[in-house]
Amino acid sequence: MARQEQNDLLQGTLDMLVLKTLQLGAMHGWGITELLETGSGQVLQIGQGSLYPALYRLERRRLISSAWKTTENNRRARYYSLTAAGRKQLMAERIQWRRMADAVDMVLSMEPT
Amino acid sequence: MTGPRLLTRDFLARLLGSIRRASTEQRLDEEIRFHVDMQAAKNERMGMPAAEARRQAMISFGGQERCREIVRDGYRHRPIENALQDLRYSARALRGVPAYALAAVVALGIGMGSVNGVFTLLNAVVLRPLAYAHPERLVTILETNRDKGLTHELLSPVNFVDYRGMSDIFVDAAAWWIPKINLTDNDNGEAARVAAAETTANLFSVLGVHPMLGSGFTVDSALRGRNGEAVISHRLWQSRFSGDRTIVGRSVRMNGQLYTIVGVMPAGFQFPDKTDVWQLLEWDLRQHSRGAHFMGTVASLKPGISIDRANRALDGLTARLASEHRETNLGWGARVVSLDREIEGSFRPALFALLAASSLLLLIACINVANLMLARSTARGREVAVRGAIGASRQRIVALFLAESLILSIGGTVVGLAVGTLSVKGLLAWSPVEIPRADHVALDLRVFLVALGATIVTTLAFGLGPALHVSRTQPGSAMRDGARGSQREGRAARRLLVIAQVALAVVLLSGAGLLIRSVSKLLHQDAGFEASGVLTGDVQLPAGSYEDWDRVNSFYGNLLRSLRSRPDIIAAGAGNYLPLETAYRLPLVVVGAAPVPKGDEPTAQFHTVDEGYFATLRVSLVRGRAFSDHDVPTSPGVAIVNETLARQLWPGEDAIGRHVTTTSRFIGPLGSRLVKGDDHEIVGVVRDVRNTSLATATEPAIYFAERQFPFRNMHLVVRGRGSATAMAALLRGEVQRADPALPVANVKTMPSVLAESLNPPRFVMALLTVFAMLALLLAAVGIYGILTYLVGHRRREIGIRLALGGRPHDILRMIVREGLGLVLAGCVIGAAVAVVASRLLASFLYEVSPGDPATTAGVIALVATVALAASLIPGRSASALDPVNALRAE
Repeated sequence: MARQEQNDLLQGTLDMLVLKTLQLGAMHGWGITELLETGSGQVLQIGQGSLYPALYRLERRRLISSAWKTTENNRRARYYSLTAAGRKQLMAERIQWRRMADAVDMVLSMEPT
Repeated sequence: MTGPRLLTRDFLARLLGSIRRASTEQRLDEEIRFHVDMQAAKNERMGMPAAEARRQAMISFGGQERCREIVRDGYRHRPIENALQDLRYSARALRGVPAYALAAVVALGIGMGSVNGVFTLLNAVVLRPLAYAHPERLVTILETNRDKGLTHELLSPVNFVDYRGMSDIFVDAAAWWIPKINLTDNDNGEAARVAAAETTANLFSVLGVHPMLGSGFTVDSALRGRNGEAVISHRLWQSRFSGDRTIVGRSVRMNGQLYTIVGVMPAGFQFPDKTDVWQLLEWDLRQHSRGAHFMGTVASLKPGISIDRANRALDGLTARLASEHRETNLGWGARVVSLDREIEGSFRPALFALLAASSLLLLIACINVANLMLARSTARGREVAVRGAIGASRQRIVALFLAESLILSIGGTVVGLAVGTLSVKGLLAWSPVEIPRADHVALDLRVFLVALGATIVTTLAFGLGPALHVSRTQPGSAMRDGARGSQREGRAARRLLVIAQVALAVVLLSGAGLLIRSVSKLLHQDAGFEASGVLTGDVQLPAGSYEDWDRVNSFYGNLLRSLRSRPDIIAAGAGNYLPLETAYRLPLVVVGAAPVPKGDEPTAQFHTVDEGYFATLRVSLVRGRAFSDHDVPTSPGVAIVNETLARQLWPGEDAIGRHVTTTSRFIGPLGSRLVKGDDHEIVGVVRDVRNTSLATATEPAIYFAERQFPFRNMHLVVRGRGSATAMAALLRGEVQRADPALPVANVKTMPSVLAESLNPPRFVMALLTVFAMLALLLAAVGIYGILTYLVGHRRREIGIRLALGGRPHDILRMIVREGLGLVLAGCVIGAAVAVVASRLLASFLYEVSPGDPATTAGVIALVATVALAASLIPGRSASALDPVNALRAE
């Protein structure tokens, strides 16, 4: 549809990361971006062009839910939080991720025989 | 009824959808604004000037519009957009596999076409209400006689008047009888036989149909007039009078008498049957006999009166009539049947049975397509896995598969509608079978709705299974191992589908087989005469110019003598009824037998035949002699009886030389017994000739000599050398020479008379055979398909076997055995189901029982042969595999 952004994460991975940040507590979109960036030591730059679609998609799959709340600065913001299904999904995806990462590691650490 | 509600619901859904969409957009806007504000605030905190901070925040967010678009795309439940997208995608995908798409559409087209064709007929013949006012209240009254096993008799005119008098049951009732009319009009001397009904004056008002031209009958009493009036059909008006609007008031000659045309009925109205001329009844119904049953009826029930209620009332009245008029009414009852059922007759069960058969065919086609789809869905396993991995929900994947099914079944429906319509048109144009009400066959809303329903049902029938099956596969495992696990499951499903298909084909073939056997048994059974080589045609002498019975006698005597003198004619004769026709049943008194009370006398069908009738039809004389030209009005009365009557009147004794008496002297205006006295000596006994139908036992019959009991209307029968057309020309020529004003009607070969009497079963047989053959073809394709698939799948195994020294022959046998195993299972199940399903055909079967072993064996042999042929192709290709290639391929 359009050009692929350089720093775009694999789609499934972004979903997992969003779920992970929300596991820490309800958060609005900007907060999630901030958390992901600081949490990754500024390595992961989340394009907002993919964050909001991801949030809407996760909500549609009932993995997260959202509601209007007021921030400490007294502004209205949409807060997202993890649902029970989301919690389960996160667990499953972590396991899957672990296996993939290990597998990739194993391949990368192969030595010539 | 559901239309408006559906519309409202749809509208509400759209409304809600657009409201939800609007609120989603608002929400997203607000979230983006918040996001940008927060980023700008952060930028400011890091020391940027306010304007720059905001600009940077906007840049870092990226394209807002694109974000909105993606959210919109992802968020909205867009059933219509999604469906269109799926359909576009599927159409593109199907273009890539044209052979698959074509095979599916053809299979579905065959199935849909058969359902459509049958339903179009069923709709026109059975479901469409009669085009009369209050068709649901119209009934016909039939007389019955339990003692004689009669359930479907016409009415005695006197009884009819009594039934019509039941004013708490019937609004009104009309009656008619069918004279044979030669019509001549003044401008055009050429005479033609027309289908006429001599009817009570109220026929049109009972039906609620009025002449489109003219004022109709003028009436003296409630039922009759006396001015010689006739109403003609639109068809006759167009064909014979060129649609001349001044026709009303003109006179025509019918059977020599003048009638004034007082009306033209609207187009399409020809009740009863195919009537072209309605002649106003001029005689008093009450002056006739209670014992003569020859009038057709139509009555309209009072609102709220059920058929049951009418039947109970008739039971009461007929019981009273039986006690009051013992000699004519003892044992007689009456019942009403709704008029549409009566008109549809056996075509109603026939068409329902055929609808069931065509549905089975459609089911077989669906199974074929489901099987194709299963094979394809296995191939698409990876695609589905990728879709699942990138977040497509299970519903979405099922929907995608259903979109493909939908395209295929729409294709099938379009082909089916075309096939169905064309084949019904072809059937009506070419088939000799006259189907009642079939002139109104049309594609109407109901046919379309059924086609639409069939489309939806078939989409689900063949699409849902494979779709669910595929969507169940785990994306991870599918990508890892090419969905081998699910393939095993798919293979079992495909085997079951092929077994089901074979079973259904066996059911249809059994039905067809049973009918073929019944019809051939009926056609080849001994009906008591030899039909082949005989041509028949009928002649009616007008009462005006042939008032004198001696003239009638000399006319037929001369005609037959000149016919017999022609070298091409082997034999010629005449009778007032043909075989399979039922003559009037009248009482007889056996001379010398113990006296019986009036009303309990034996009855027999009264036939009149000349001396050549039995010889021409090769009815063998069992005892005594045939008639001769010496049996004249002035000589002693003679008669010939059939074996059944001889056995009934003189069991174990010789009938020859016995005497019977009859008081019947006139039969309508058509026949008159001329001999003096009532006594007839039995001079011969002939073999039983079927005199009701081919399927029912012969009734007792007595034959009178034509010169002693002449009739003005006679069926001529001639046996000759040469073609039927040549004989027909010869017959017409001789009648023309005898009286140029006389038309010969209903010229047919005797075998076609026999065949026509079997039209309903032959009609079902022909269509069912076509359906069964198509079913067999589809099943063969199914067997071929699964074996080809299995061979493809087992290439490696086959390669190993061949590499290890397996002989190609063994491979072939292995594949064929696989195919025959499925077929055998299908045959066993199918044969069992067929026994039950064939009960639907029970009313068309003759001397064959559902589950007939010979039929079942034949069907299984046929299916096995076809299956063997279908297995050989993949079997041979398997045995011809190159082991090296086969092993490398994986």
